[in-house]
Amino acid sequence: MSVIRTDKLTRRFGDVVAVRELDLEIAGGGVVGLVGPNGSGKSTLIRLLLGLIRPTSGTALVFDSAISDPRQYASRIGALVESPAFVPSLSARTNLRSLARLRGISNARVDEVLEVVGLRERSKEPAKRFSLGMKQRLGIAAALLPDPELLILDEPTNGLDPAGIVEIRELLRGLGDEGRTLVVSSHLLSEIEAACDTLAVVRYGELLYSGPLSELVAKSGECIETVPERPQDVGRLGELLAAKGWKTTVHDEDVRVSAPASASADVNRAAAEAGITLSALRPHSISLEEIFLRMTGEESGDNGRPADAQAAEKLEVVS
Amino acid sequence: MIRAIRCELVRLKTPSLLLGGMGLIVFFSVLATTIVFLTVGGESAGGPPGTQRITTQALEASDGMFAGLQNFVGMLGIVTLAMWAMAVTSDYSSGLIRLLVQAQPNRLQLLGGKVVALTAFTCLSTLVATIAVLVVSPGVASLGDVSTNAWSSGLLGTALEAYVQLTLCVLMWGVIGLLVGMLTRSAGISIGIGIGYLMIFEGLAGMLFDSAQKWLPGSAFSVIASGGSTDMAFGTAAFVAGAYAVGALVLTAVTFRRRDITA
Repeated sequence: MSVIRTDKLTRRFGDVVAVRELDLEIAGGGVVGLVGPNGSGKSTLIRLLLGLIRPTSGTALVFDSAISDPRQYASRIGALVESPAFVPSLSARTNLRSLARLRGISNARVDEVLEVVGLRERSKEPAKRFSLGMKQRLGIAAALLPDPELLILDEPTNGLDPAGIVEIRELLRGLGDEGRTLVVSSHLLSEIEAACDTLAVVRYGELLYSGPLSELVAKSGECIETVPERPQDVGRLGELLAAKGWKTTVHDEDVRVSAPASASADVNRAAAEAGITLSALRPHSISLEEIFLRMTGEESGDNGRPADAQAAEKLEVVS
Repeated sequence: MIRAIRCELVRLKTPSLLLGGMGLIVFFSVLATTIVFLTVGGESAGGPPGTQRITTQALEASDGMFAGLQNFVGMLGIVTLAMWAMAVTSDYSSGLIRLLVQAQPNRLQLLGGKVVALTAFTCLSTLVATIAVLVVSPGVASLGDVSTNAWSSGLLGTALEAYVQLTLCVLMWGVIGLLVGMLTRSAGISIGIGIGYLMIFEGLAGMLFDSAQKWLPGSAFSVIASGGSTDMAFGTAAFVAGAYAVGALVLTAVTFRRRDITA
């Protein structure tokens, strides 16, 4: 059964298309990574699914209910959208109790979620005294209040130090093991790689890939690393192999060729015929980061994006 | 909607709202009473721009202890406007609105809960302010050489009437604050608009179109606080003010229901 299903879902902000005819299906259970460069439409998609904003066109179902009526599934879903938000002068517990009252949830559940995120001991402190990591955990606690079947976390490790990232990662793993469906949006690919089973990659509001992470890595992961003996030959080698029809990525000291290991002899021959001696020729396991950069075709999310996508991001930040 | 009310009441317990909102209403009530009684001199006592002059005779009447409060009601209205506007704008500026709408996707219920909770809070604030005026009035009256002999007759009824009129008046201002806060989503702009409107716009409108001024919200709200005036009966003022309040509530509800939550 699909937990989330979108059909040509589109959201425009004036002339700006933040989400463009997105067809996405997320099955129940496991941790799903929603990745994309900044301004790729991740947060807009999450807001659409939560009923915070309305689509321009297309449809989407959450637990088989249309997103036009989020009341049908609000009790089955918990979310942390962008930064956690609380009344700073109120304690963590009072903040959560306020939200629990709105959802008709008992105070006992408040204590439970504080325990889950490890904040029970400090729950009487005002939220304004919390570190960023503690605020993120409090935000996750708020999302967990309704004991949701679907938990959507938008950039849960944003701004955290390495220790905080590890804490949140372990928390996410634990939540995923409980049988919930977790959708985790992030641009930190190492986090996604460490925590997620399934991946959805978006760019400029369009879906580039959706499926198991292992399949994507296996599909994209066959790569040959070639190192010319003379570093100044790197550029020429890249051009040469590209001209032969291989997809190449030129690095400082090597050229990576998207090809199975069985193509190594052909690559070596092509280099030798051009007078380039290779000092190394070996299969290379590709990282999710490299796959992502290949798919999105850019080093940074803000580089080379269409003007409308950049404007969409600005619009979201400003409003 | 009960859930939304309970949620809102928890958040209204913040010290900034308790001290800033309720505290300011009580402070201005006592200050207004003190100023009027100490400056009455012989002929008249003043108030903020656009308010009526108060005579010693008026202060010595059975409802005289609340005359200062009624004359400064515009200030209390601005405080209430600011408080209601901040209750809306802080949800947007903090991003809390995202959590609230997720938890209660029926936005009209959410707004209804906020209105009821703020109304309760405002009623409590004006009750405390009325009691404070009851307590300090005899003291400042004696300092200002104002006779209080007539005050004891029907004191409870007079106090109750003053409380209801004051509460109705500031609630109207609160609803306007709710609307301005929802439209601007900025506490500073909302308060600026409130003060600018009362101090400048209505004053100018009164100078240019004397007969039209009484139909403007600020004037109508003030007439309610005074229990009626020579220009406008209480019932007419209540009808006019009620129309403004209902219009503001409807516009607020439509805006909130239709607007994207991008905060």
